Amino acid sequence: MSVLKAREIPVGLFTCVVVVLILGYFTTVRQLIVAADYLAAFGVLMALIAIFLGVVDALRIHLRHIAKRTPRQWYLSAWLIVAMMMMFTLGYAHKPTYDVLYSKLYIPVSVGIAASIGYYLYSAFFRAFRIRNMEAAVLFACAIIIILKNAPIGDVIWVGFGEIGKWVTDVPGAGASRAILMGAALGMVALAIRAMLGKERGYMGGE
Amino acid sequence: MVQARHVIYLALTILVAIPLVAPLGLPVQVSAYTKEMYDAVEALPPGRPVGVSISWGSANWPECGPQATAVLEHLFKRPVRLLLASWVVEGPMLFERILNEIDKAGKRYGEDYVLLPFIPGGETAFAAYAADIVGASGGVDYYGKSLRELSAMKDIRNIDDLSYQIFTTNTSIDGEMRQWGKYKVKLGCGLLAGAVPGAMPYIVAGRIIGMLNGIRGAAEYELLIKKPGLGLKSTDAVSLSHVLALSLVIGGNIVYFGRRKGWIP
Repeated sequence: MSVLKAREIPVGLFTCVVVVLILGYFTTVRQLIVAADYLAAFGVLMALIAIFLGVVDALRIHLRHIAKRTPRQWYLSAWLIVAMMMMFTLGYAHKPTYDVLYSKLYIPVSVGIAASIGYYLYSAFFRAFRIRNMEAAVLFACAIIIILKNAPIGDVIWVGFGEIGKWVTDVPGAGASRAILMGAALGMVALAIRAMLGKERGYMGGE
Repeated sequence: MVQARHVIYLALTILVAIPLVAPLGLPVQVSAYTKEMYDAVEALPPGRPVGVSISWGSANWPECGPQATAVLEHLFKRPVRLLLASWVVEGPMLFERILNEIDKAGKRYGEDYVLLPFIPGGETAFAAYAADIVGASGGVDYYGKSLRELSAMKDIRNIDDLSYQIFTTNTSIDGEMRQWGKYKVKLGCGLLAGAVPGAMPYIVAGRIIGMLNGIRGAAEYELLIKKPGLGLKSTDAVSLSHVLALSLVIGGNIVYFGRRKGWIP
């Protein structure tokens, strides 16, 4: 029976990379710093390869939909491939047309879709923001102060909203964010230790 | 049948449209964090390089676009070299759009400013950029020219060779701070208003010098550089939409308590 089972190899690789990165960050040993920087540059290369794989995979999935004539999907897949190929070709062949399509079509459509979410948000202001208990009352008071601090009309109503709003964000807001930050950091450390011990295998497709 | 949400949608549309037709011209007070960034840009040593980066997509253009535009408008008037970096695939196109809109004050591409290509990998990309800017960019600019041949890149190796790194983002800044925090470079940021609370620990600790808070931050910066743009045009719409938000929160609670006490059927 092989000493190195399939699981141990990725865990070993992961542990080596993590140890080099941590030591490169926290020590002043030149070799370790160079190795950590090299690994970071390698990560950028891996991300580029992942993007290429994503394009290939999207093409594979959507070409299959077109070939199978999947109901209510195949024509959307065909449109996606046409749009993808058109932008890809124009980006190299005719940059001015590409820029017009990007600036005058893609950006306004993206902004429009994002803005439509705002409508749901305003509906939620009316339906969901109820003062049911003390915590909700505090949240309500802070929300009013921050809304009036961020909108110029708040300064017109009363200049004090800016000062109180700044105190809310700088003191209790920063304190609460700091606590969340430290909690998340400790969670990340625990996760890294579990992954190095082979107990956390989500990153290699395990459970 | 007309429902409450239909009325809310209509009211929001009207309130956002009114200032675009007839601006209210409400005064905008400049916050300390915006002034801090303006002062930091004014104090930049001549000839030194400055980094500006984009980590937001086109959907965030209305809030992040005016911030980046105002800051670049100011930086192009300063005697500094500029490195424009992107952590999102759309970044270089967004930079090109901004560069087409602003007054570049005679600055020449390659000599005074450089557009780096999209550097993928999120936090890994921040780390790679901080350690070796040319290496993380693959040795070339967005147009495929060798960075070593561009005079704007002279003496630039890592992020500590920059005198100021301003990053605009639509999300948490924890990744940037984890990877750049250990360097000595001065950091400034432009954030979506919703991302500001999460950034406060770094700002009040003094690690970030200058912060633009959403569209209001952009408007304040436009006021400081005396170049009104989309930020100032949007502030009236922001004011009226915020008043609506406030009215809805208060109105919703009146209805809630009214129903509980039996005042409202």
